Amino acid sequence: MVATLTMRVYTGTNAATESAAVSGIDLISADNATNTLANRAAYPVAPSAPSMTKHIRLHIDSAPVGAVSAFKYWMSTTKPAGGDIMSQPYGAGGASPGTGDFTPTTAGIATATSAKSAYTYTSASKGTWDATGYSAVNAVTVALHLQLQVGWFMVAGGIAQQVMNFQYDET
Amino acid sequence: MDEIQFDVLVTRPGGEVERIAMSEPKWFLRLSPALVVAYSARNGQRAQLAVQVPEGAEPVAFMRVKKSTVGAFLRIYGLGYQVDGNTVMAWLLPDGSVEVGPDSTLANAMLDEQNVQRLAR
Repeated sequence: MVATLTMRVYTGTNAATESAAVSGIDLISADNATNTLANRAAYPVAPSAPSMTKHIRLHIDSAPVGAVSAFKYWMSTTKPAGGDIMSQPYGAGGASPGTGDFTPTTAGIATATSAKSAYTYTSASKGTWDATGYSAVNAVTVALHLQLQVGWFMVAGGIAQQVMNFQYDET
Repeated sequence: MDEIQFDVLVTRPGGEVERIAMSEPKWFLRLSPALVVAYSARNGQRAQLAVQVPEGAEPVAFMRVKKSTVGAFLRIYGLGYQVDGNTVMAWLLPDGSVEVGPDSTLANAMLDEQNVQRLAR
């Protein structure tokens, strides 16, 4: 039987509240797991003010025969002019909801804290999300923090939908 | 695209061929020793892949799952061996094509094509 992994968003204190499976995330000024146009309109990101960090993990819904491991990520779309999405793996994986994370914040995560632009990573040079192997149902990977950072000169309006790819190996 | 169910065929040093279902517990621990490892589709209708394992090398087989935040998904099947700290891999793609290398660039392109189609909906 092949494993089923879903993406979850973690909110609240220490990012310990796990959402249901999501198929997309909103990089906005609020800490929630909603993915709708209305949500993005209600909680816009101001120029020069980073979005709330979004904390995502991959969750094992059904177990692999062996293990899932070697989690990597990369961007599929090109960086929007005047904006960037910073990324950083953080905390520890294991039993849901994982450990070692911090409460989502609008303070900018920066290269000084090992964050890198998600656009650094491409299909030819993928970023390491988590190198650990997991086999149990309800295990989660380490968190991956994503944060939209826009320049002061950006005008009001939406940014085209961005796409992040990820992969893992399964036995 | 339909998901293909594969078995792993292992040709032992004595010449006998063992069929291992990838759903069996610890199937990946039963690859060695092997002269040849191969994927064989259950229905017998689809492409297969076989890799000769050099003497002293350890055979490896695993699936690589690629997904995106807009729901694109594909699974590729890796087959190869490890020798002197290096891993040599061949990949069987959903369309039956085969690629050799540490990762499948064609699978990455197929994933991006799915992404484009999903964004256009």
